[in-house]
Order: sequence, then C-alpha cells, then structure tokens
Amino acid sequence: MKFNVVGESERRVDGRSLVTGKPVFVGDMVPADALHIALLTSPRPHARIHSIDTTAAEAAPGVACVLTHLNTPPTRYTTAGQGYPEPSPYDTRMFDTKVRFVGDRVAAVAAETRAAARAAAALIEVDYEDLPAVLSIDAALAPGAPVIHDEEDALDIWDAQRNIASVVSAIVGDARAALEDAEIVVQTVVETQYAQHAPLEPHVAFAHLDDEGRIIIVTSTQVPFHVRRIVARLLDVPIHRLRVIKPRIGGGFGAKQEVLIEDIVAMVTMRTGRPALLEFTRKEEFISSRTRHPMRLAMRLGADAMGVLDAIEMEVISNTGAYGAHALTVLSNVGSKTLPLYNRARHIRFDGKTVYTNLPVAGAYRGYGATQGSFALETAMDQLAERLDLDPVELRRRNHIRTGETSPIFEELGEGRKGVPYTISSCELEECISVGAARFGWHAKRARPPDTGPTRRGVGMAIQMQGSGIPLIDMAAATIKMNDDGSFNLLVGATDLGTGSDTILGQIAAEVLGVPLDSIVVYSSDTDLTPFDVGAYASSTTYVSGRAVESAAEDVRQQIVEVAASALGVNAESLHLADGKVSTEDGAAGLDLAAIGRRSFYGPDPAQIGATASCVPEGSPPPFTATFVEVEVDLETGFIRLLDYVCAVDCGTAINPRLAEGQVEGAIANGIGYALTEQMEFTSEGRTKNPDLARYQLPGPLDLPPIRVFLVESYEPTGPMGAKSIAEIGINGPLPAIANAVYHAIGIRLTKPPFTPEKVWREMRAESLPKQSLPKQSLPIADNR
Amino acid sequence: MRVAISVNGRRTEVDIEPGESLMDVLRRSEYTSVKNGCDRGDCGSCAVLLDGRAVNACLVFAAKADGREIRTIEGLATDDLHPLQSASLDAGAVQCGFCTPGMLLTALDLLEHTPDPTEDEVRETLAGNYCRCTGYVKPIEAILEAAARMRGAR
Amino acid sequence: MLDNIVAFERPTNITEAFAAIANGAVPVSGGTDVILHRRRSPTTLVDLTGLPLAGISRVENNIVVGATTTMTEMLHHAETAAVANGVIAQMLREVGSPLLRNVATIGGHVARGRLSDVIPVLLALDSTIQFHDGSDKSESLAGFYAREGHREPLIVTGVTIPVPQAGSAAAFRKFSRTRFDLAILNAACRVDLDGETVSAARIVVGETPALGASLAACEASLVGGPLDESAIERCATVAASAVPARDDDRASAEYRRTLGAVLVRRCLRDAAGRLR
Repeated sequence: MKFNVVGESERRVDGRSLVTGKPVFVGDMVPADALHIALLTSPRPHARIHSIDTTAAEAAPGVACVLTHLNTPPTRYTTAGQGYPEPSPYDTRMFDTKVRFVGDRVAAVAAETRAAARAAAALIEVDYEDLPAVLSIDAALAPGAPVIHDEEDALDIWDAQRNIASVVSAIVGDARAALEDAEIVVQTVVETQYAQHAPLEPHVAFAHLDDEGRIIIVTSTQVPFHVRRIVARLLDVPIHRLRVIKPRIGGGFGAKQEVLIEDIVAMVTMRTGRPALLEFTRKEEFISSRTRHPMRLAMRLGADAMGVLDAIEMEVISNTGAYGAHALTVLSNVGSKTLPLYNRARHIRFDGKTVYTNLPVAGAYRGYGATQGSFALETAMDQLAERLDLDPVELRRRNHIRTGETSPIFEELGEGRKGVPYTISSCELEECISVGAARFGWHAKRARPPDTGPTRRGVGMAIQMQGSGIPLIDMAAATIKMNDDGSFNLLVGATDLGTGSDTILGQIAAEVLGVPLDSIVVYSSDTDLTPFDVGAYASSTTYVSGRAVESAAEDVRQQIVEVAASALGVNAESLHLADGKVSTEDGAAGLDLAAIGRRSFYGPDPAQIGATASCVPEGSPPPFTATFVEVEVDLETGFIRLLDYVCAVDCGTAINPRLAEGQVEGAIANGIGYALTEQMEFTSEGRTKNPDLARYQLPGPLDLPPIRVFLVESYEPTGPMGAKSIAEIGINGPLPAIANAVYHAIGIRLTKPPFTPEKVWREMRAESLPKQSLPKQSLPIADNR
Repeated sequence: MRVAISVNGRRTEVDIEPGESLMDVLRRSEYTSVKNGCDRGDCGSCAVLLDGRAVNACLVFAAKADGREIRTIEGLATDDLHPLQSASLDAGAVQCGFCTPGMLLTALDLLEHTPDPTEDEVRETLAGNYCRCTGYVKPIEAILEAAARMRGAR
Repeated sequence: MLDNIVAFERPTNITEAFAAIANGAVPVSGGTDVILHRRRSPTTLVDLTGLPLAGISRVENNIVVGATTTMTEMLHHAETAAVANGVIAQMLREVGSPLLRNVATIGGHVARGRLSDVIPVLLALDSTIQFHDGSDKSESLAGFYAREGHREPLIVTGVTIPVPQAGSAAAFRKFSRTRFDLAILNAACRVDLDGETVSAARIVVGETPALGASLAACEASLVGGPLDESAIERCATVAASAVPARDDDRASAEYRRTLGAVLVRRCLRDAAGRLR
C-alpha cells in the first residue's frame, strides 16, 4: 500500500509548542485568582469517622470552602473512567464516613494560597474509630476477615461480605480432564507487586465559571467525556452545565483514566463561584492516585510430546486495594489478552477473583491485566520448552495464532462480560519472531557455552498480543470541516496524552483528503467543541478513533468532489482528489482545494463542506510482539544487568513510524522497571514507605539497556489505512522475557517481581543449599469460593 | 525580600519569600516551562541554566539567584528552533513533552561544555532527567544529532 | 516552598556568618540538603556562598577544596579528577546527577553528615576538614565525625585531600538498585605499598553507617603482607563480619554484609590492578 502522508515520521503537530515551553499544560494556565485546594487524607488504613470538626479550618485565614462527607452528596460512584454503565462497582463516595486506606480522602480545603489551604487542613479534627486492617490477598480472603465495604448502598460488588469485588470465569472444553490426559504438564505460580504509573506530570485540574455560569473543568485526563458525565452526576447538575477541556497532558499510562480530582475542583467552584485548583504532589500521586493491580496467578499447561498445547488453566487473584476501580475488567483482560495467543489449546479454564484490601487503590495501567497474565503464561511456556528440550522460539511457532484463525476466548471473555467472536485478520507474529531472533542473534547467543567467573549471561524470549480498543463498546467520533483556503479543521474527542494521537489522526485525515499534514488543524478533547470519544485507553485511539477520522474524511472527500463536479460541469465519477486538487482522469480540468473551499462559502449554493463520523469497532485486532532479551547476572550480588533488548512488533501499518517506535520503546522502559526495580512498599500499618521517584526506584537512562524496536508491518483490513494500536503491548514483554533469560543464565525461576539484587541473591543462596523435598505445588492457589 | 535576576537576558526584580525555590518563583513569573514533577530534585523537569549550569530549580533557593543569569527553554529559540529543539522533533524524542524543557536545558549545558559527546556521556548527563514516556532511546539520539548540527553550524 | 524560613541572610564575612549560626541560624551552601530535609520550626538561613570559600588549589601534596566548591567544579578540576587514578572523578560521576552536582557543594555535603558516596572516598584518602567555630580549625575528617563535629554549630570552610604518591592506589565501588538512588552499600579503599609489602591501608564502607566506617580489622589484615589474591580474599572475608550493617527499607543487614565482602574484594582488586 502506497501512502503520501501516512507512513511518514512527521513532526508532532503539537511539537513546536512543547519544545519551546509554551504554557500548554493544565498547571500553566491556572487563573491568577484561583483558590488552591489541599486534601486531608487518612492516616489510618481502616477506620470509621466518628466525627469531624472543621470549625477551626473554616475560620483560618484565607479559607473559602471546606468539603467533607458532612456537606457533600453521598452518591456512590466509581472513579473508573469507563463507558456507561461502568463495569466497576459503585463503591466510592466523594467523601465517605469510613476511610479504607492510608491516603483515602477525608476532607478538602480551598484557600487563597496552597500554604493557607494546607495549614487549614491540618486544623481539621477527625475522630477515627480504628477497624482491623486487611493488608494482603490472604488476609482479605481469610474466614471472618474484616469487611471493607460494609456499606449498604454500594452497587455491583460481587460479594462484599467476603471482600470480593469481582469474579470472572471462562470455560472452554474440559481443561481438567485434558490436563490429566496430557503427555506433558507444567505449572507455575507467580505473584506481582504494587506498581505506579509515575507520569511526570502529577494529576492536576482546575475549574472556573464561564460568563453564563457554566462550570469549565480544565484537567489532565485521558477521558474528558467520562469526566463530564461522572462529575455531572456527583454535582447533580445536567451534563450540559459542564465543559471539560484537556489541554496537553504530561503522561497518564492509565492513571488519568480515573476521575480523581475533577469532582472536587468543580464542587469548590460551584460552591464559591471562584476558580479552584487541585494538583497532586508527587507523594499524593503515589499514594492517592492509582496503581497496577498486584496479582497472584497460577498457570497450568498441558501439551503433547511435540509441544502442541491442548489445555490451559489460569487462576488469578487480583488485589484492587480499597476500591474496585477496573476490578472486573482488568481481571478479564488477564485472560482475554493472553489466552487467544495459543489457540491450539482446545481446553481452557480461566478463573479469577478480585479482592479488596486496605491498601492504595489499583486501576487502569498500561497493559491492563495482560502484563500480569503474560508473565504467568510465558513463564510456563518457557518451562514447557525446557521440559521438551525445545527451543523456546520453536515452541511458540508450534502454538501461536495466525491470520484467519480464531480463539474461543474472544467470545468467552470480554470486558467484564461475554466477548465478541473474532477471526484474526492480520498477524505477522511469525515474521516478528523471525526478525526479532535474527536481529538479536538468538540462536548464536542461546548456543553459547556457559560463562565462567562472577557473572552469567543468559537469553530469554516471550511473545505477546494485546488488542485495539473494546469491540462493540467503544465509540469514537470525528468531525472534519473545510475552510476557504483548502485547509481543514479536524475535531476529535480522542485524547492525546503524549502519545502523538493528534498527529497520527491528522495524518489519516490528510492522507484521505490529499493534503499535507499542515493543512489539517487538529483540535481535540473539548466536550463543548469536539464530538464524543470514549478517550485514550485500551489501545483504542489509532484503531477506533482513526477509523472515525478516516470515515469522516472519506465523506468530506466525496463532498469536495461533488462541489468540484458542479463547478467544472463534469460527472463526479470522472474526478479524483490528490495533491491538493480535484482533477479529471485525463488531467484536462481541475480545481484546487482553495478554490473549492471558497466556492463552498461564497459560490453558487454555498454550503459548509464537512462531516461527522463515528466508529464502533466489531472486533479488536491484536497487535503482536516478539521480545528477546539478554541479561547478565552477578553471582555475588544478584544484580541483573540487561545487555540487549529487542522487540519486533506487528503494528499493522505504522501511521507515523517514529511515534510508533516511541510508544513501544517507552512501554518497554516502563516494563523493565516493573520487572527489575519498581515497587510500592508498605509498613505493617499500610502506609506507603517510598512515595517518591528515587526510592520507588524509577529506572533512569543509566539503568536501561539499548532498546531496539523493529516495526514489522502488516495490513489490518479493518483498520484505518491498515493500522492497529500499539500503545500498551510493549509493556508486557520485559517481565517474562527477563525472567526467562535469568533462568537461562542461572537456572532459577524468578516468580516475584521486582527482581531486586537481594531477592535474586537469596534465591541463588537457597538453590545452593541442600535440596529439601519440595512440596508438590498444586492448583488452586487459594480456596476457591 | 527582593531579588534582581536576569531571565533569558531580561533583567527583572521580583519579591520573593525567603523559603521560596527558584522553581516556584519562575513558575509564578510566567516561566511555566519550568515544570514541577516532584519538587524534590529527582525528576529534572524543573531544570534551568543558572549561570550556564543546569540545576534543579526546585532545589535552589530563589534568594540565591540574586544577581545571577537564568536561562529557561522560553529563551532558547529565536525565530528558528534551536538544534536541540528541531532534532528532538525530528527524532520523535518528544512524547508528552513535560520533561522536555528540563531535558533540553540539561543537554544544552552538556553541549556547551562538550560539543562532541559520546552516547555514554549523553546518558550520564541525563541521569537526573526522568522521562516516563520514551525510554530515552530517541532523546539520546536527538541530543547526539543536535550536537552534530551545532558543530556543523560553527 | 519552605514556609518555615523566616529570613535568608547573605553575609560576606565569616565572623558575621558564624555569629548568626551560633545564634541558631542554619547554614546553607548549595541548599539542596536544606530544601530536601526540611525543618518545621521557624528558621533563619545563612548563605555561605557569599563568603570567599570557593575554589580548588594545590598546596604541596594536597588538594585543598574550598567548602562552597560544587561537585561539578571538583569533577572538572583536572588535578582533583586525577587523584589516585581518577577515583574522585569516578566517585563524583556516581553521585546523584549533573543537576545535583552543579549545585551541591563539598562543604555542604561533609557538613550535613548523611548517607554519602563522597565521604568514604575522602576517608580512604585520609582527608582533613577545615572549619570555623569562632576560630579556624583543622582536623582529620575521621576524627571530626568520630566526635560528631558535624552536629556542632560551625562553618565548614574546606576539605584537604592528600594526593596519594607512587606506590599508592585507591578505588571506589557503589552498589545501588538504580543509578540515581543512594547506595545500598559503598566501599572505598586506599592501599600504600612499600616495595611489594602493604605499608598502610584504609578500607571504608559507607551507607551503613551513614558516614562511612573505616574497617580496622580489614586494614590490619592487609598491612605487612603483599597485596595478592589471597590477601584480598582474606580481607574480604574479614569485611563480611566487620561491616556494621543494619536492616532498612533498601536491604537487609545480612545482604549488606555479603555486599561488604564483595565490594571490598572488588575495590582491592581494582587497587591492585592500578598498582601493577
């Protein structure tokens, strides 16, 4: 397929303002007279608020407004910014009579300065009745465990009395029987940690009133339309009384798919009539924002002697912390975004539950369950390869899904409900494996004799799939209108959180309309001015929003051709649009776009050329990756150094290759941190011990290897210009590939990230001690219901 | 207290609190390119040049800037983009762009002292500039490319 | 914004500065540590960078570093960077980041007395500290910390680093989870040879305890013999039990003791390599 604008690494449309430091972020455009809001958060992991006295705070200098459960609506909702009705339990209030983790909201104080707001917040007296705290999965499921959500008005909690937020199960065939019959069975149990998105820009939002008294919320969000809907309900005002604007935002990675602060700024503005600002400190971003669901996963694979899988069992217990944001859907995705990869298996059982604990709240995080699920699955695949004495690459080749094939999981597991039957229409995974292995030098490195000396090198690999949006649920719309100089305005609800989506959506429009990118003026994410889009999550923008843009542009192209036909007095069918003009096939007659634009405004029968189109995808075409990593393990210290990292990715058509590579590189860096260093740690009272970037061990440039990404293009027939979405998939590779490489290096299976030096050292030391007879590991991983 | 500072060549007098950081003062003086990512010197988003050296503005008392020269990213481009800026856009080194001003100024400090750095030197230089979006591959490529363009322009 | 700071004074002579400090004011040099480790009570800050304390000079066999010299200035000072096969430069490159080193000063760093990658190297080189507490004084850095001098009201004016001569070598190793983070453990060593025989040695581990501890037993195990592989191994074994390790959020004491042996061994091998 030959394109003109698509496939080019165009500069970002917002690039100039970003590199010159223009005031384009939320915190740069705060009205000078804004009130500053400080939060009072809970110092207790689990307690009932007996009384709360705000008298002193309200009387403190500069204080304009204090919000607590006493003066805010008791409406139950979820902070998860998902489509309506959200598949997350309504277990949250703006301010509740109970606190459920250290960092939970207790009160908000708005004052003339941040210092005044903080000082006043410290004057609020709260009388807590401490309740026993639940600080682990096991504690949550223990008989007689304290009930975290004992309120009566919560909705859609699976079993509040047993701290179970959600349950998911999918059965295909009879996995149990098939495993008994399988020639080879391998199993593993892995456990993942609390991890944080750590966008460089913490959550920030402000609200103010416009001249008509409507509330304008300017916020760093991935989901402006969901913010508008959810905040309108909490404030009990009609949706049209709110306008939500997302300017440039400093990263999100899922953390900003949550409505965490917009309700407060809007409420303060509604109560005071004043602009009001709330920005998280970095510490608040760690504790009171969202995290990746920690999980315990058990995997069992059954295969024949050739390594062809017949049965897969996966059991999952997910920890959602104090509230169930994305509790159900992240859990579904653990299976739905991993199990179809190996569709030779005829028998599959997936069972999962999500539990509440009195720890910080989990939510959407790039990868969204696939990250955890893939770790378990690809670890087990590596074990299987070892048992068969088969090259892990060859084992993957014998089992992975291909173009024209399906998996029953597509239908059995959706987003918290049944899914949609789906046949893969583009899959270059085989080519990804070949390209990745060749660029990495897999076979030579794998065959290398073991090192001697104090370090051991090893290589490992893994393959992954993800999706492109949520089929039959996500909707994205785009509006294009033509101007009288032949340029176009592209208005999209899609939300560029740094990904470059404004740019690639502009490229898609430019391609269809036969103009260069700079003829497209992109404006996005303003609920007053742009059409609806669910927002930036679930790897949806390129595929879903891109299709909406493509459709709108095709409609506009047709209108242009018709105006030209009437102007030229020829048949529309004889015309085509390219290079900024409409011409007849023989090139004898033509009109440039500026002339057509002028005619549409001022010529005979003037009418606006423009269109709005929507897209609701029927399927969710997966992108695929093959990942290869080389590690060096220091036998004396346990330190793991990454020597090389190769990822080959099937992205469909790369609309903008550089931006596409950047998405994958960034996701990989984030995934390496998850594998090796990053972890939120808690005291025995549930307090976060390391709420800053250094102690959280965010990897910097000196901690990361050269990351080499290779785009393996395929053509997705349902995608815009053949494209698929790839924002998430890269984050899933590092954890299993590194664990497998470490096994290759030192013969130890690491199952509990992050793989810190001390942890690896302890494992090595345990391994060198005389072997006890190990208890036989058996599924299930916890007593099932 | 009142301090006299020069920002991007423009001398200005500002009233400050004795405990205010240079980051706070610059942000409220409309140099909002100075980003607050952590307020504790970890992330480098607030980096500015102070008398030619890149510093975390959040870890410098504004009072200490009295009489000194400050450069922010607002002062980097004239009519044309600076090579660090244009190379960053060409390389796809900018994603969300929040860390970009601090990272480019840190790189500028390097290139003004070391016009032909190795890749390792660039990596070392960025040790205090976190980027969560990119994985540093393209920012490092952009800085090396900018260095080449700047050498070529001499 | 530190809202407890009531005044920021910028004296130009040391008598005036010390008077304020004796009166309870807090000295600030680069300022990074004062901002990061904020106090709650009302505080007056006294900026030392207006005093004539900056700059590096070579005085006989010593590098004399003025207290308000930044780490970057030390790193770029050719004679300082070259001390003991570049051990100071190597160490400084592993401290924080350029953004921090461009501000943090050597005086502020030694005066603060917290977790440090710098102090072990200074101790290994038998550095001395100069300070003003009403009068100008000088003492060994080790002695200064041993008597908790850094808790006294005083102004650090400089650090003097003896330049090891031929037959001497030093080395430094930092072990941290990420490069930016503080060390789980670090180690520095200096070995002086008289012919083939170790005439003196300094083995220092840092992070636990914060300021760096000279491991006398390790040093004793080396003196009087050759610096060969068996001596190094013996010394590392001694280090494993001599490291005054503790548990904290970064690592266990047990792991730190193991690291102590590993880092001491690697430092000594580096030093032995440099002496060859």
